Amino acid sequence: MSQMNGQNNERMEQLLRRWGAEEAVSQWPATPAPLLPPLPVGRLSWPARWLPTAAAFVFMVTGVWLYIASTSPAPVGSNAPHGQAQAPDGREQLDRALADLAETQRLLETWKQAFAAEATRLRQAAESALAARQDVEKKLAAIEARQAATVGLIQQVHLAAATPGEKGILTLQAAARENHLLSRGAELRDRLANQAVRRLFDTQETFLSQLDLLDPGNRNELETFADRVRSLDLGPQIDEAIRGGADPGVTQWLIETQLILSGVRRAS
Amino acid sequence: MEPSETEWIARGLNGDNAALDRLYESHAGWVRVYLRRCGFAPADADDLTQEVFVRVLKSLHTFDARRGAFVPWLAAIAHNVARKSWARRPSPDHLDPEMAEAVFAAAENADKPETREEIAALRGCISALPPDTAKIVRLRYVEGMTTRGIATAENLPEATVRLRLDEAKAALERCLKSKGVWG
Repeated sequence: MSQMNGQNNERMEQLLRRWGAEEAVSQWPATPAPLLPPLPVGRLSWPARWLPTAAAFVFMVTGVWLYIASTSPAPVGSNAPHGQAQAPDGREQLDRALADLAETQRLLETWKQAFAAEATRLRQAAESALAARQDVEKKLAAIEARQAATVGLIQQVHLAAATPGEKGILTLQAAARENHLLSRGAELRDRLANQAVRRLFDTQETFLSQLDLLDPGNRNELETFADRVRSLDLGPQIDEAIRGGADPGVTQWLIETQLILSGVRRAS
Repeated sequence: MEPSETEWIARGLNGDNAALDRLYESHAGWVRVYLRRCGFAPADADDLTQEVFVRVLKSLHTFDARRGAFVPWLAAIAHNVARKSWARRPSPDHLDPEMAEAVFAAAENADKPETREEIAALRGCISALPPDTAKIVRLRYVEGMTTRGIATAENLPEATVRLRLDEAKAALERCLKSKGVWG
């Protein structure tokens, strides 16, 4: 399957979305327009636009003034008994106003705390998202690096197959060392999912160690090793391990090692 | 030459009902698809489309082309109507909200000649896809479904749906290149 790069993928996504929306629109049967309310013809003149607002404002102000006039107490002072009767009412109103003020301050404090908590939550969410993104970017970079290394490995195996004998084996030994297969294998030991994968891993590691120690100039040793590799068919077991969901690092290691060993078969 | 949207609006405000009908016919479909992708049932989407256009026409005299195009203005009204009726929609887990938002973006670009050419070529390429793949493409981009929704509807693993969509995109790119519309 050919893969698209990010820019082309995004462009194709946008194009498909436009096509999809157009297709969806074309599938709907046309329905009649709603019965319209009469629209104003052109824009209204300045007085016509503002007159109703001004009239409403005058009406409202008049109403408020009449209400205040009808409910406000008579002035205190000239009539002592009446003034004394009003004083307790005034204190009650003051107490109520103070209680309202205290309640408002309490609500304000609650809202401030809620806003602060929400701001903290949002900041933490943003930080988590950033950390997750950085993690994904690191993983992606690691995958790309391994892909590049695998391509290089395939080239070296191909080269080894083209130059059989001592030179080919030397190429494969160099490839295995450059890709740190033995040291990587040691680091992957605690990520082996089950016994079958562990056995497969052990076998591959043994052959890899033998390859590393092999003297390419010793023809007998080379032939014996090559015969043993040829008798080994680990392909189906590797496929099974991949299907069984082996750790990606382990899978990568198994494939690379198998590539090297396939090179031994062809180069010897 | 076809009058612009702004001219249709001006004519409508001056009492030309045919201009208002034209405005409705060219935009009602987008609004309806947007509402369907928000999760409203077909009948509700029809009712809400009518409600959107009643609001549009009542406040058309407030539209000012100098402050922005008509489609985003229409989209804002449609969003408000949809939000007020949110409780009426069934749970739209299988629908992708991004696909609803994509409707008005498509509406804004619908009349551009380069878009028309690409869409026409893409239509041909999609018809050449294998039927199973074409169906998944339609469910995703025409119906606005999520990959999980498609997986459930088609009884497939979600990873398979994603893989087929990727394969379809790659095949469509090759097809568009062969038609000379993908630079």
